[in-house]
Amino acid sequence: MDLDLDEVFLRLFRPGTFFANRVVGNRFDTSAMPSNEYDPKPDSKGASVWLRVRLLGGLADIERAYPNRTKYGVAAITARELKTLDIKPTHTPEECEVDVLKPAHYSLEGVTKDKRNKLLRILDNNVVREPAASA
Amino acid sequence: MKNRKLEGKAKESKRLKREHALTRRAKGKAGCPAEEHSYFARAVNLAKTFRTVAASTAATVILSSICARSAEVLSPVLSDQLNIAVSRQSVGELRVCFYDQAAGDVGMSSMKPDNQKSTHAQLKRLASETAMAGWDHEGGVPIHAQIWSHAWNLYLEVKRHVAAAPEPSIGPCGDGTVHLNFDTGTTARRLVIEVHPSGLYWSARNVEGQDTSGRFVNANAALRDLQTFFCG
Repeated sequence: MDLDLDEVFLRLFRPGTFFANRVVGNRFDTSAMPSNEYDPKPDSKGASVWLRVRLLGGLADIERAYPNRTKYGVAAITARELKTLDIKPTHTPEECEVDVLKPAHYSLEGVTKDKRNKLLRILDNNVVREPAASA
Repeated sequence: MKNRKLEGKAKESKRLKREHALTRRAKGKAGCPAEEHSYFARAVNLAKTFRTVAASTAATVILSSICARSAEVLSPVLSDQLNIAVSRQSVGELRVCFYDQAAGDVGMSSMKPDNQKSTHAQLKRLASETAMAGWDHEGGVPIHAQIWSHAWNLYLEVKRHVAAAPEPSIGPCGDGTVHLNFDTGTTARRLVIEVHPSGLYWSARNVEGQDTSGRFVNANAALRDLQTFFCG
Protein backbone atom coordinates (compact mmCIF):
# COMPACT_ATOMS: atom_id res chain seq x y z
CA MET A 1 0.00 0.00 0.00
CA ASP A 2 1.46 3.33 -1.06
CA LEU A 3 1.49 6.02 1.57
CA ASP A 4 0.97 9.70 1.02
CA LEU A 5 4.23 11.39 2.01
CA ASP A 6 2.30 13.79 4.21
CA GLU A 7 0.91 10.97 6.35
CA VAL A 8 1.91 11.30 9.99
CA PHE A 9 3.15 8.48 12.19
CA LEU A 10 3.13 8.60 15.97
CA ARG A 11 5.83 7.02 18.06
CA LEU A 12 5.13 6.36 21.73
CA PHE A 13 8.13 6.34 24.00
CA ARG A 14 8.72 5.10 27.52
CA PRO A 15 9.11 7.43 30.49
CA GLY A 16 12.78 7.54 31.44
CA THR A 17 13.95 7.88 27.84
CA PHE A 18 13.19 11.59 27.59
CA PHE A 19 15.06 14.38 29.43
CA ALA A 20 13.34 17.74 29.19
CA ASN A 21 16.38 19.55 30.64
CA ARG A 22 18.61 18.79 27.67
CA VAL A 23 18.87 20.83 24.50
CA VAL A 24 16.21 20.14 21.88
CA GLY A 25 17.52 17.44 19.58
CA ASN A 26 19.21 15.58 22.44
CA ARG A 27 16.25 15.12 24.71
CA PHE A 28 15.75 11.49 23.77
CA ASP A 29 18.16 8.94 25.09
CA THR A 30 19.38 6.71 22.29
CA SER A 31 17.83 3.80 24.19
CA ALA A 32 14.42 5.18 23.17
CA MET A 33 14.80 3.54 19.78
CA PRO A 34 16.05 0.00 19.20
CA SER A 35 18.51 -0.39 16.33
CA ASN A 36 21.24 -2.94 16.95
CA GLU A 37 22.22 -2.29 13.32
CA TYR A 38 18.73 -3.29 12.35
CA ASP A 39 18.20 -6.95 13.03
CA PRO A 40 14.58 -7.81 12.22
CA LYS A 41 13.03 -10.77 14.03
CA PRO A 42 10.24 -13.00 12.70
CA ASP A 43 7.86 -11.49 15.24
CA SER A 44 9.18 -7.92 15.13
CA LYS A 45 10.27 -6.10 12.02
CA GLY A 46 11.28 -2.96 13.88
CA ALA A 47 10.15 -0.24 16.27
CA SER A 48 6.39 0.30 16.35
CA VAL A 49 4.73 3.44 15.07
CA TRP A 50 1.08 4.26 14.53
CA LEU A 51 -0.41 5.77 11.40
CA ARG A 52 -2.37 8.68 12.83
CA VAL A 53 -5.11 8.74 10.23
CA ARG A 54 -5.95 5.10 11.02
CA LEU A 55 -6.37 5.72 14.73
CA LEU A 56 -10.03 6.56 14.46
CA GLY A 57 -10.33 7.26 18.18
CA GLY A 58 -6.95 8.98 18.31
CA LEU A 59 -4.43 8.16 21.03
CA ALA A 60 -7.30 7.13 23.28
CA ASP A 61 -7.62 3.92 21.24
CA ILE A 62 -4.07 2.95 22.15
CA GLU A 63 -4.44 4.01 25.77
CA ARG A 64 -7.64 2.04 26.14
CA ALA A 65 -5.92 -1.10 24.90
CA TYR A 66 -2.69 -0.47 26.83
CA PRO A 67 -3.46 1.56 29.97
CA ASN A 68 0.23 2.08 30.82
CA ARG A 69 0.61 4.12 27.59
CA THR A 70 -1.09 7.06 29.29
CA LYS A 71 2.31 7.69 30.90
CA TYR A 72 4.16 7.45 27.60
CA GLY A 73 5.32 10.42 25.58
CA VAL A 74 4.27 10.89 21.96
CA ALA A 75 6.24 12.26 19.00
CA ALA A 76 5.29 12.61 15.35
CA ILE A 77 7.11 12.06 12.09
CA THR A 78 5.92 12.19 8.49
CA ALA A 79 6.35 9.54 5.82
CA ARG A 80 8.41 12.10 3.89
CA GLU A 81 10.88 12.52 6.77
CA LEU A 82 11.21 8.75 7.07
CA LYS A 83 11.87 8.52 3.36
CA THR A 84 14.71 11.03 3.56
CA LEU A 85 16.33 8.75 6.14
CA ASP A 86 15.71 5.69 3.97
CA ILE A 87 13.59 4.14 6.70
CA LYS A 88 10.61 2.17 5.50
CA PRO A 89 7.36 2.11 7.47
CA THR A 90 5.85 -1.33 6.87
CA HIS A 91 2.27 -2.19 7.75
CA THR A 92 2.50 -4.98 10.34
CA PRO A 93 -0.98 -5.75 11.70
CA GLU A 94 0.25 -9.23 12.68
CA GLU A 95 2.48 -7.63 15.33
CA CYS A 96 -0.49 -6.04 17.09
CA GLU A 97 -2.92 -8.11 19.11
CA VAL A 98 -5.68 -5.49 19.37
CA ASP A 99 -8.11 -5.63 16.44
CA VAL A 100 -9.09 -1.99 16.46
CA LEU A 101 -5.42 -0.96 16.31
CA LYS A 102 -4.24 -3.40 13.62
CA PRO A 103 -4.91 -1.07 10.67
CA ALA A 104 -2.72 1.60 12.28
CA HIS A 105 0.26 -0.54 13.34
CA TYR A 106 3.46 -0.07 11.35
CA SER A 107 7.06 -1.08 11.94
CA LEU A 108 10.11 0.97 11.03
CA GLU A 109 12.42 -1.07 8.84
CA GLY A 110 16.04 -0.09 8.39
CA VAL A 111 16.81 1.81 11.59
CA THR A 112 20.58 1.48 11.89
CA LYS A 113 22.60 3.24 14.57
CA ASP A 114 23.40 6.30 12.44
CA LYS A 115 19.84 6.62 11.19
CA ARG A 116 18.51 6.11 14.69
CA ASN A 117 20.25 9.23 15.97
CA LYS A 118 18.89 11.31 13.09
CA LEU A 119 15.44 9.79 13.54
CA LEU A 120 15.44 10.65 17.25
CA ARG A 121 16.42 14.21 16.46
CA ILE A 122 13.44 14.60 14.11
CA LEU A 123 11.12 13.06 16.69
CA ASP A 124 12.56 15.38 19.31
CA ASN A 125 11.59 18.36 17.18
CA ASN A 126 8.04 17.05 16.94
CA VAL A 127 7.14 16.03 20.47
CA VAL A 128 3.37 16.01 20.81
CA ARG A 129 3.31 15.05 24.46
CA GLU A 130 6.07 14.63 27.02
CA PRO A 131 6.02 11.45 29.11
CA ALA A 132 4.95 11.46 32.73
CA ALA A 133 7.86 12.11 35.09
CA SER A 134 9.22 8.84 36.34
CA ALA A 135 10.79 10.20 39.52
CA MET B 1 43.74 46.06 61.66
CA LYS B 2 41.56 45.19 64.62
CA ASN B 3 38.55 46.70 62.87
CA ARG B 4 39.19 44.57 59.81
CA LYS B 5 39.35 41.45 61.96
CA LEU B 6 36.08 42.40 63.62
CA GLU B 7 34.47 43.03 60.26
CA GLY B 8 35.66 39.63 59.06
CA LYS B 9 34.24 37.96 62.15
CA ALA B 10 30.93 39.74 61.71
CA LYS B 11 30.77 38.63 58.07
CA GLU B 12 31.57 35.05 59.00
CA SER B 13 28.94 35.08 61.75
CA LYS B 14 26.38 36.49 59.30
CA ARG B 15 27.23 33.77 56.79
CA LEU B 16 26.86 31.04 59.41
CA LYS B 17 23.53 32.48 60.51
CA ARG B 18 22.31 32.44 56.91
CA GLU B 19 23.38 28.84 56.50
CA HIS B 20 21.73 27.77 59.75
CA ALA B 21 18.54 29.52 58.71
CA LEU B 22 18.69 27.73 55.39
CA THR B 23 19.24 24.37 57.03
CA ARG B 24 16.31 25.07 59.38
CA ARG B 25 14.18 25.87 56.36
CA ALA B 26 15.31 22.66 54.74
CA LYS B 27 14.37 20.66 57.78
CA GLY B 28 11.11 22.35 58.44
CA LYS B 29 9.80 23.01 54.95
CA ALA B 30 6.06 22.93 55.47
CA GLY B 31 4.06 20.79 53.09
CA CYS B 32 7.17 19.35 51.54
CA PRO B 33 6.80 15.62 50.86
CA ALA B 34 9.39 13.36 52.45
CA GLU B 35 11.18 12.71 49.16
CA GLU B 36 11.55 16.39 48.39
CA HIS B 37 12.56 17.00 51.96
CA SER B 38 15.44 14.63 51.55
CA TYR B 39 16.47 16.12 48.19
CA PHE B 40 16.38 19.55 49.71
CA ALA B 41 18.56 18.67 52.68
CA ARG B 42 21.04 16.88 50.45
CA ALA B 43 21.14 19.78 48.05
CA VAL B 44 21.91 22.22 50.84
CA ASN B 45 24.73 20.01 52.15
CA LEU B 46 26.19 19.59 48.69
CA ALA B 47 25.95 23.29 48.03
CA LYS B 48 27.82 24.07 51.24
CA THR B 49 30.55 21.59 50.39
CA PHE B 50 31.00 22.98 46.92
CA ARG B 51 31.02 26.56 48.07
CA THR B 52 33.77 25.72 50.51
CA VAL B 53 35.77 24.04 47.78
CA ALA B 54 35.25 26.80 45.23
CA ALA B 55 38.35 28.96 45.05
CA SER B 56 36.68 31.92 43.40
CA THR B 57 33.93 33.92 45.07
CA ALA B 58 32.39 34.24 41.63
CA ALA B 59 31.93 30.50 41.47
CA THR B 60 28.37 29.46 41.28
CA VAL B 61 27.10 26.03 41.98
CA ILE B 62 24.50 24.75 39.62
CA LEU B 63 22.23 22.19 41.02
CA SER B 64 19.93 19.94 39.22
CA SER B 65 17.59 17.43 40.58
CA ILE B 66 15.79 14.53 39.10
CA CYS B 67 12.63 15.37 40.87
CA ALA B 68 10.89 18.17 39.02
CA ARG B 69 8.88 19.24 42.03
CA SER B 70 11.92 19.32 44.26
CA ALA B 71 13.66 21.61 41.79
CA GLU B 72 10.81 24.07 42.14
CA VAL B 73 11.23 23.96 45.89
CA LEU B 74 14.99 24.41 45.69
CA SER B 75 15.10 27.18 43.18
CA PRO B 76 13.91 30.27 45.03
CA VAL B 77 15.56 29.50 48.34
CA LEU B 78 18.94 28.43 47.09
CA SER B 79 19.34 31.06 44.44
CA ASP B 80 18.55 33.84 46.90
CA GLN B 81 20.64 32.78 49.81
CA LEU B 82 23.54 30.74 48.51
CA ASN B 83 24.07 32.24 45.10
CA ILE B 84 22.99 28.97 43.53
CA ALA B 85 20.90 28.44 40.48
CA VAL B 86 18.84 25.39 39.77
CA SER B 87 19.61 25.07 36.13
CA ARG B 88 17.95 21.92 35.08
CA GLN B 89 15.74 19.09 36.14
CA SER B 90 16.50 15.51 35.52
CA VAL B 91 15.15 12.22 36.74
CA GLY B 92 16.49 9.93 39.42
CA GLU B 93 19.36 11.52 41.17
CA LEU B 94 20.80 14.72 42.46
CA ARG B 95 23.47 16.15 40.22
CA VAL B 96 25.85 18.92 41.11
CA CYS B 97 28.29 20.70 38.89
CA PHE B 98 30.43 23.81 39.09
CA TYR B 99 30.07 26.82 36.99
CA ASP B 100 33.11 28.90 37.64
CA GLN B 101 32.54 32.28 36.05
CA ALA B 102 36.14 33.35 36.55
CA ALA B 103 37.52 30.32 34.75
CA GLY B 104 34.56 30.09 32.38
CA ASP B 105 34.50 26.42 33.20
CA VAL B 106 31.26 24.53 32.83
CA GLY B 107 30.53 20.87 33.01
CA MET B 108 32.46 19.46 35.95
CA SER B 109 30.22 17.18 37.86
CA SER B 110 30.36 15.24 41.01
CA MET B 111 28.38 12.59 42.70
CA LYS B 112 27.95 11.72 46.33
CA PRO B 113 28.51 8.09 47.32
CA ASP B 114 24.82 7.77 48.17
CA ASN B 115 24.08 8.65 44.54
CA GLN B 116 26.13 5.67 43.50
CA LYS B 117 23.97 3.59 45.76
CA SER B 118 20.82 4.94 44.16
CA THR B 119 22.25 4.33 40.67
CA HIS B 120 23.07 0.78 41.66
CA ALA B 121 19.58 0.28 43.04
CA GLN B 122 18.14 1.73 39.83
CA LEU B 123 20.20 -0.65 37.71
CA LYS B 124 19.16 -3.62 39.81
CA ARG B 125 15.52 -2.67 39.34
CA LEU B 126 15.98 -2.22 35.59
CA ALA B 127 17.82 -5.55 35.34
CA SER B 128 14.87 -7.31 36.89
CA GLU B 129 12.36 -5.44 34.69
CA THR B 130 14.20 -6.22 31.46
CA ALA B 131 14.99 -9.89 32.06
CA MET B 132 12.04 -11.21 30.05
CA ALA B 133 11.42 -10.94 26.31
CA GLY B 134 8.92 -8.22 25.45
CA TRP B 135 9.79 -6.16 28.54
CA ASP B 136 9.17 -2.95 26.57
CA HIS B 137 5.78 -4.19 25.28
CA GLU B 138 7.10 -4.25 21.72
CA GLY B 139 9.07 -7.45 21.44
CA GLY B 140 12.08 -6.17 23.37
CA VAL B 141 15.08 -8.51 23.55
CA PRO B 142 15.78 -9.58 27.17
CA ILE B 143 18.82 -7.91 28.68
CA HIS B 144 21.00 -10.43 30.46
CA ALA B 145 22.34 -9.82 33.94
CA GLN B 146 25.87 -9.92 32.52
CA ILE B 147 25.16 -6.90 30.32
CA TRP B 148 23.88 -4.96 33.32
CA SER B 149 26.93 -6.01 35.27
CA HIS B 150 29.21 -4.74 32.46
CA ALA B 151 27.29 -1.47 32.38
CA TRP B 152 27.65 -1.00 36.13
CA ASN B 153 31.38 -1.77 36.08
CA LEU B 154 31.90 0.64 33.21
CA TYR B 155 29.94 3.30 35.07
CA LEU B 156 32.19 2.87 38.13
CA GLU B 157 35.32 3.02 36.01
CA VAL B 158 34.14 6.24 34.40
CA LYS B 159 33.40 7.78 37.81
CA ARG B 160 36.84 6.73 38.98
CA HIS B 161 38.91 7.80 35.99
CA VAL B 162 37.03 10.46 34.01
CA ALA B 163 36.00 13.13 36.49
CA ALA B 164 35.07 15.55 33.72
CA ALA B 165 32.44 13.27 32.22
CA PRO B 166 28.88 14.32 33.03
CA GLU B 167 26.74 11.98 35.06
CA PRO B 168 25.31 9.54 32.50
CA SER B 169 21.74 8.47 32.16
CA ILE B 170 21.61 4.71 31.96
CA GLY B 171 18.82 3.13 29.97
CA PRO B 172 17.81 -0.26 28.60
CA CYS B 173 17.12 -0.50 24.89
CA GLY B 174 14.66 -2.83 23.16
CA ASP B 175 17.49 -4.32 21.09
CA GLY B 176 19.03 -5.95 24.20
CA THR B 177 21.68 -3.33 24.92
CA VAL B 178 22.25 -0.90 27.79
CA HIS B 179 23.09 2.70 26.93
CA LEU B 180 25.21 5.08 29.01
CA ASN B 181 24.37 8.52 27.73
CA PHE B 182 26.88 11.23 28.64
CA ASP B 183 25.10 14.43 27.74
CA THR B 184 26.57 17.84 28.46
CA GLY B 185 23.07 19.24 28.93
CA THR B 186 24.01 22.68 27.68
CA THR B 187 25.06 21.90 24.08
CA ALA B 188 24.33 19.24 21.48
CA ARG B 189 27.59 17.55 22.44
CA ARG B 190 27.19 14.07 23.81
CA LEU B 191 28.73 10.64 23.84
CA VAL B 192 26.78 7.41 24.14
CA ILE B 193 28.29 4.04 25.01
CA GLU B 194 26.20 1.00 24.21
CA VAL B 195 26.95 -2.16 26.15
CA HIS B 196 26.21 -4.96 23.74
CA PRO B 197 26.75 -8.72 24.18
CA SER B 198 29.46 -8.53 21.52
CA GLY B 199 31.27 -5.47 22.92
CA LEU B 200 31.12 -1.72 23.42
CA TYR B 201 29.79 0.61 20.73
CA TRP B 202 29.81 4.38 20.76
CA SER B 203 28.03 7.21 19.04
CA ALA B 204 28.98 10.85 19.42
CA ARG B 205 27.42 14.15 18.53
CA ASN B 206 29.52 17.29 18.33
CA VAL B 207 28.44 20.86 19.12
CA GLU B 208 27.36 21.35 15.50
CA GLY B 209 25.07 18.33 15.86
CA GLN B 210 27.04 16.00 13.58
CA ASP B 211 26.87 12.31 14.44
CA THR B 212 29.60 9.71 14.25
CA SER B 213 29.70 6.18 15.59
CA GLY B 214 31.97 3.20 15.97
CA ARG B 215 33.13 0.43 18.21
CA PHE B 216 35.57 0.42 21.13
CA VAL B 217 38.31 -2.17 21.16
CA ASN B 218 37.91 -2.56 24.92
CA ALA B 219 36.81 -0.73 28.09
CA ASN B 220 40.18 1.04 28.42
CA ALA B 221 39.73 2.55 24.97
CA ALA B 222 36.27 3.72 26.03
CA LEU B 223 37.71 5.46 29.10
CA ARG B 224 40.48 7.04 27.08
CA ASP B 225 38.09 8.37 24.46
CA LEU B 226 35.69 9.66 27.11
CA GLN B 227 38.58 11.52 28.68
CA THR B 228 39.54 13.02 25.32
CA PHE B 229 35.95 13.85 24.45
CA PHE B 230 35.25 15.76 27.64
CA CYS B 231 38.69 17.16 28.47
CA GLY B 232 40.07 17.74 24.99
